[in-house]
Amino acid sequence: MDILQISGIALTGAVLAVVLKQKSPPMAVLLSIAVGVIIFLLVLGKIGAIVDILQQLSERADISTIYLGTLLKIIGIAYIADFIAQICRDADQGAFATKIELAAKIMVLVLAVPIVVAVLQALLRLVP
Amino acid sequence: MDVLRELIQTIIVIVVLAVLVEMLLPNGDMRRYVKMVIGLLIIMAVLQAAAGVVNSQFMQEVPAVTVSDTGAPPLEDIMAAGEELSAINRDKAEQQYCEGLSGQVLALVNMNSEVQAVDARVNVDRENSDIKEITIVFLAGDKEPAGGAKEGLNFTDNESGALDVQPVVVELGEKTDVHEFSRVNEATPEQKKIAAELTGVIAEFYNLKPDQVKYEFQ
Repeated sequence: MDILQISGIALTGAVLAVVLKQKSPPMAVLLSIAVGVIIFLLVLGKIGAIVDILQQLSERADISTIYLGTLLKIIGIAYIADFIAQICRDADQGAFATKIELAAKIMVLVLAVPIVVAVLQALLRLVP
Repeated sequence: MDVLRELIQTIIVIVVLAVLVEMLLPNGDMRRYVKMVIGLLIIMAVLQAAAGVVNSQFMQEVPAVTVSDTGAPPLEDIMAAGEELSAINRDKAEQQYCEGLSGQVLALVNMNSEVQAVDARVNVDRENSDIKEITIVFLAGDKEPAGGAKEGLNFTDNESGALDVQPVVVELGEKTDVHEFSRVNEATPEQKKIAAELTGVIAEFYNLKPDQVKYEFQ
């Protein structure tokens, strides 16, 4: 029944944020950050199980752990950037959100560069 | 037939893995980028699986996923070399700074004709380049005259007025004037007093605490 707990926290946070936004917008932003962190911490323990399954599948498919590690890093970057960008947009700081997304895109592409090179080299070797 | 079955099994696992990973993706603008990388990884995995069936040599030729595969040295090596270079430059700068300070201190101290300073050791804090300690080494005993170097040598005026050095004779044998060296480390109370005053002046000049400037005699 974790979902009830999480939904309750989110709902309470949403109501409080709406009320606080009228009186004190900065406190509403802080509240949304706090609620986000709490929800993330609540589901953090369950992420481990998913990662374990992904590892087992990658071993079964003979995929190197380096590939999986890169993939999980990219997903993590995407989530963190998305989370922070949403908070920035809630605080009416759209410019910051755009910058965070840009930074995340660059980091994702940097992580992807070795994979792109590896795929390219593999494809070129296929050509007789 | 077994090989083909294994290949199909592997591809099925890869597809399931891809679907699972895609479910994890965020909904925002980042989704497209992450999907691109996932697509590349799937291509890589399928290629590896296919290569394992067709030609095992191909799999070995597929490069590992490291930054060094781009032809450039690994990022760690570049960073390490940069840090090493930075440390060398910092050491050189620190050494030059210490030498400069040492020269300044010696020049300041030797303005006093009562004592002669022969060395000034400067300790600098590596963190913020502040002076940690200055140790001034004074010569104990009588101060050498300005032309002290001439004492052991014979000079004669030549026709052009310049000084010629007469041949130096080196005599080997037992040292007879041991007392010349016994006066080392013996400073007179006046010299100690002057040295203490000079260290105070140096401390004041460089805005240091009095205990940061020390002196010793040799």
